[in-house]
Amino acid sequence: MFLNLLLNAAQAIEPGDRANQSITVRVASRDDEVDVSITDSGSGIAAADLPRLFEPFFTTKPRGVGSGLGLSICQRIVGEFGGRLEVESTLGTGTTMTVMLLAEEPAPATPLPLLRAEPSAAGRLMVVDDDAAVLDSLKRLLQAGGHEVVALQSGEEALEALSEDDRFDLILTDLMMDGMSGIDLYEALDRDRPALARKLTFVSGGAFDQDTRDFLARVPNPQLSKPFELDSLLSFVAEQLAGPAEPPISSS
Amino acid sequence: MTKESSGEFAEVLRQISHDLNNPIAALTMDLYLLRRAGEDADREATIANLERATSDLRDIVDDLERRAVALSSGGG
Ligand SMILES: Nc1ncnc2c1ncn2[C@@H]1O[C@H](COP(=O)(O)OP(=O)(O)OP(=O)(O)O)[C@@H](O)[C@H]1O
Ligand SMILES: [Mg+2]
Repeated sequence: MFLNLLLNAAQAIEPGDRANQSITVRVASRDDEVDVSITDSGSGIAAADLPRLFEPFFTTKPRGVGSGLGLSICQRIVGEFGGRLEVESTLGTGTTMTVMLLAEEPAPATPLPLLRAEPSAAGRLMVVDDDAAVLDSLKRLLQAGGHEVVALQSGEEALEALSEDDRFDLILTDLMMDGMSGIDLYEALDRDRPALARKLTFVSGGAFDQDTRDFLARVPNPQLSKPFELDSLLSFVAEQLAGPAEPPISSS
Repeated sequence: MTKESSGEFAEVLRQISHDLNNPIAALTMDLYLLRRAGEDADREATIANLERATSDLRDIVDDLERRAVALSSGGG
């Protein structure tokens, strides 16, 4: 999504006059709102085009360069997170696109899962991600959901920890990590302890290469993508813990 | 752009979007924690992590800018 905005900014700048051109990204966070703005010194947008900018297929670019879908998709994504996408532009001077995240989130329709976590739904989870910020967020989020969480920053550490203690209900692992990747971890477990390999859920920032796509198509394990739809992350974990695979204990 | 370099470009874009998704995921989760978990959440830890993710995002963008400058001034 940000990439789309950066590409638009880059495309708005005529190649050549390097000294006078720039793309600036600013991140500002307030109480409950984060604004990310991308300012370019490009062509700017004609006032007449502004109302149509977010329409699907609206483009001023030649065939083959622009499909006109970029901004409509960005707007939809930002909307899904309860945010807004705003444009400010002066023809000939440049453009600023601002993404405002979680400025005004509507009251959730369903009970808050974090606060209503049933004690029976709590599980013991392992989380593996080489990005420290993601790992920390995931850990605290799942802990707030009532779960016991062991967080590890590499596939190697995860494998080592599992060799000493494998009592986990669910293992969430990043796919793309330096060193041992999520795929490597799966394969190592599948070789020696297939029951544990089945507890893996792959979490990733999308944009897979072909090998990764082939791998994901081959294994039965669930996948989640980052950034998370958080209600669905928590309900996913709850569902997994409820365990469709293991039938509930029936009354005798 | 030649056919070869557009393949490389696709690879670079893939990497960039993956890298950007990490801090964005952290920001999204932390904002959610701040808003929904209220008193239950460890506010200080969440805010510290928000700052970390924001600075990761800034580093990625700085790096992109440096690469863009290097590309546009380096022959090409
Ligand atoms: N930063 C910008 N500066 C100037 N014009 C812009 C900028 N961003 C978007 N636009 C204008 O808005 C139009 C629609 O943008 P959008 O991203 O939706 O589609 P696109 O860039 O034309 O195609 P695609 O994103 O599918 O490659 C663009 O064709 C362009 O005219
Ligand atoms: Mg575009």
